[in-house]
Amino acid sequence: MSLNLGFFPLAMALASLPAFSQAVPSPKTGPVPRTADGKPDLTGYWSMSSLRYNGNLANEGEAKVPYTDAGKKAFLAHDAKDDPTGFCQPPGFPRMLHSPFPMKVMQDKDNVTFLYEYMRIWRLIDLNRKEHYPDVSDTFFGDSTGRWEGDTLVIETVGLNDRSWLDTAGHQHTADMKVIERVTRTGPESMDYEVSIIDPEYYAKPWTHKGTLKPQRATKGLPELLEYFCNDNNIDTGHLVSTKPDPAK
Amino acid sequence: MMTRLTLALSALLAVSTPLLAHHSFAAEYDRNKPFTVRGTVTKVEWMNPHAYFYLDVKDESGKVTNWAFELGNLSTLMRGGWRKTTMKIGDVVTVDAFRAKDGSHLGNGRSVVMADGTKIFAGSSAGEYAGN
Repeated sequence: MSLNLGFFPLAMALASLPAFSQAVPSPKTGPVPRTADGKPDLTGYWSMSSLRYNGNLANEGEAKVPYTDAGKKAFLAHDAKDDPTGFCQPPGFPRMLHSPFPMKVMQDKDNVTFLYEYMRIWRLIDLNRKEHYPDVSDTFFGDSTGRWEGDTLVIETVGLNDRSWLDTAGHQHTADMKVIERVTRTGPESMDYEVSIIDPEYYAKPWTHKGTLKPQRATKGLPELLEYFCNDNNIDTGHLVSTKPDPAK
Repeated sequence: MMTRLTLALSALLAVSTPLLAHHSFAAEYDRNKPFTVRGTVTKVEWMNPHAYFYLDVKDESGKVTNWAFELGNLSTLMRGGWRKTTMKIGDVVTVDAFRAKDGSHLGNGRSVVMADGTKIFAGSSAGEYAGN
């Protein structure tokens, strides 16, 4: 066997010790890295695990979701067996941000580019264009424009379809949804990430979620980003059974 | 050189972090039906979105049934220490798993005890929000 698995029992034992997780060092503090033109430097490999909400945006309970009647009705009507990503459809945006896998951020004066490990998806954010392309519609990732508000990069995305879900839990959105991301690098090893879902037909007010990204460390013998193609061996679909949400929850 | 503790930590993070399912766990598996079987590996599929392995399992009457077990995605498995060569055809292993709801001979692996007694996590998505 090429791999010494002797560390696994130790890891399993440590997993039962809550105090051990506190031993993980906090991100280094210090000045915000900047590009040559003085903008915050967002580049690098980032772990997205803090944005994941355990697959459920309603992590504070269904009662806290700012549903409209139509939004609640759409959620209750979904069936987990129909999850688009279960059939290897793209997660779409903003569900892309639920991936626990890392991303690489690239940046120049004209663009910020996100390279996501999950399904090998990329997003290109235009920093110069103020208006959206009028003919981009019904797409999984829409049309994104970005602008700097002080040290925060604000990204606005429209032109989305209504075929993607917001999360594994099955929260829905319309094709008129607008998504606002606010990205603020706060130090050498931290970046605040806020995402607002603005979809008045389904949600009575913007549904906002926040997380703090940390640098992604490569595993020995592996690069920071690994290959992920969903449709290589997707044999789940033949085993999915109807699973509807409980209206009482 | 990566220390033993660092290796343990990387494995721990993979174990303690809820894992992504590209579909709802509850739409395929029943977390109320855990089971354990021992058998001989007949095939390993080292592919995304899930690795699978197949076991020939002999019951008390001697009848052999081939079971399929879903593991996590390759990213989670590899960052936790798995490699394609970790499990080989012919290995005798014991699996803790959850049964598929459709009644097929399919399980979602929770952990695997290898032939030499080492227990390894399986990248199960059972900790993920289940959709109901």
